[in-house]
Amino acid sequence: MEVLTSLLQGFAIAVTPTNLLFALAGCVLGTLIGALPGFGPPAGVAILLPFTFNMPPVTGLIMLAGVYYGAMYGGTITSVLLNIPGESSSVMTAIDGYKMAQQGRAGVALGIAAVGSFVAGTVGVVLLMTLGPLVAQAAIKFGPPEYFALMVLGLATISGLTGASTLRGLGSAMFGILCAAVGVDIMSGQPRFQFGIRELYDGIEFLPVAVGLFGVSEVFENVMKRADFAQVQGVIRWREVMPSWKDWKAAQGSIWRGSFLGFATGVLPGAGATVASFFSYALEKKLSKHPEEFGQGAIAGVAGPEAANNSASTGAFVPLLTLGVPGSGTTAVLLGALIMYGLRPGPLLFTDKPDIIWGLIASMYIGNVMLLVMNIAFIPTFIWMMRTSERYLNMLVAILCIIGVYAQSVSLFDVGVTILFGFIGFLMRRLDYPAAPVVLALVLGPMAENALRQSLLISDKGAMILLTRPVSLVLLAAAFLYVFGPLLYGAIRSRYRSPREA
Amino acid sequence: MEAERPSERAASNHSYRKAHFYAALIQVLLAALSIAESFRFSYWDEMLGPGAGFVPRWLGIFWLPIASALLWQSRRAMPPEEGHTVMPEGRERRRLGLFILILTGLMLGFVPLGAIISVAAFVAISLKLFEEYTWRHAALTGTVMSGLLYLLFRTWLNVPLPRGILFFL
Repeated sequence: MEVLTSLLQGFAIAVTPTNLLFALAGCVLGTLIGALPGFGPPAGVAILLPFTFNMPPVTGLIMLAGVYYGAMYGGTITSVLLNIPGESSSVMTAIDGYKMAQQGRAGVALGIAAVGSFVAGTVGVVLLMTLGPLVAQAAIKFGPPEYFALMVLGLATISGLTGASTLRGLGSAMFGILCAAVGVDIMSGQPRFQFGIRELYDGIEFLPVAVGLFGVSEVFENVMKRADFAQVQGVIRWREVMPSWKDWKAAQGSIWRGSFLGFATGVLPGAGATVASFFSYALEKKLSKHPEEFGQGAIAGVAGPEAANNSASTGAFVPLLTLGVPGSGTTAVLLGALIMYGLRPGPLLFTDKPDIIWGLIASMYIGNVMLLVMNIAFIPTFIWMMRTSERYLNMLVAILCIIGVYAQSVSLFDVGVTILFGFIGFLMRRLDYPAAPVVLALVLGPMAENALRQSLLISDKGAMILLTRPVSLVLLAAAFLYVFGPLLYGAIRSRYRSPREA
Repeated sequence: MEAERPSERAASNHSYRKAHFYAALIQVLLAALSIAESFRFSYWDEMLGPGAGFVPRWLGIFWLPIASALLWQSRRAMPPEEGHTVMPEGRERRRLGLFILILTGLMLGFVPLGAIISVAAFVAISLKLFEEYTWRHAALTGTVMSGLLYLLFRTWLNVPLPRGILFFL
């Protein structure tokens, strides 16, 4: 009952004209960002973040969340029409979606993806609304050791799961912690890693790093080759996008399964929308009576992964809002946004700022309805927008990055840092080092350092306090397993295999 | 031709491994720097607990073995796809280099020239060099785009953009 009252209050905030307008703007921009190959949701959120600083926090969050889940819808468009996934979570959609397009069923694929995303998005918001306060309630009892362990787990999972190699992910996280350590130490007031550069006295800001690593680096990558959306034809009419009863019947099981599976995957730190869509595709293929149809244009191969990636993006809000620990690159940027708005992410957010949390949750219901309408009725418009923006895209994004960072700090030094981190991000991308751990470590680094110091201060057993409290022990053990589990598994497997081979 | 392909692949693999080697080496150096920097500060304070040197020292201690393992792994690093190079080559390198140059120009001109002029110049030069617009068309598009962006950010979003030489605006 209390949840429903809070939700109603949230709706009262979400339906104000300004919030509706920015929710719509977020959904439109998110759909475009998701549709454009080369620009993912973390880049979209990072680039648009500085333009939300003049808004009330709830309005800014509504818009940025709209960009995030809008991108999940948008990723389908180029996957189906061009066989080019707009972002990584749409890779699985491309397999059967593009086949359906080749069979003249592109409209149905896009339509069922939109309906599946809507159902999953709504299921995700209901689960977020139900689970969020419960997790927050449990986390209120956490002390500094548990918080430190939680942050270590967040860093370990994102380092372990976001790249091709755990070691490279850890290397990225260490680089992020180093960046976070730059500047004046809050306890002693001594400047660390400053090397006489006056501008580094306040440390390396989050925004230039996030915009550089996610936004500018993508521009650098894209500018080397010319985008070509000329082959995308905007001939799909809205009637073709409306799924028939037969299509809905064939896809509904996959949509429901994808919704729950996606949410559960999204809640896990580090897993995210891409992993959720892979799981869903594998599950649907396993459960199908005709697995041979997968890869040949199976509607379940589009509906399941699309539902899963959308639900996962909503699930990712659970650890972010309740624990203050993000599980993906985009939520790491959103965590930075919360801090820059002056909010303290964590369990107290639900009780201290209910208007913001419930306003955001209510806006997600509205955003999902907006996106359903947009993705059924305005597909040709999005295709036209993609084709029109093609030539100006890179320069427009670069300008937004520069203006955004400058507007926030009125400092050319920060703009320089953005370009520098853009180049570092470009090299990391080419070397297959994930960028998300750097951003997450930059945000969590000072908080983890603070929590560790507080833990050691209150402890009479030194660092053993982290291992003698059950919750922190479990969290640290989980972090250890995330990082070393695959290595141990490999070692055990090779040990068992070698005697047989011998 | 057939004989050239394996040698090209070997050269590409070699340059990829070299790039990974340098990336790991930089991390080894940064980890060492972190440890060295930590000795400039107190490690532990009787009153405050962990000092300013505490985190840098442990960061270096954790990072050093990770970076060393990456250094070791770099000997076997394989590109994700054939022909993948870390640093772009030929036309791609020229395009990237030019873009970074123009972007740096935008940054340097942003305050003294003002947002309108620097953004217009950035768009016009980019369109001319990357999209092969005529100078006239590029300048016109740049001016219109810059004006619209200025209006959007300055008047609607209240973003404090520098006016530069157009201070009277």
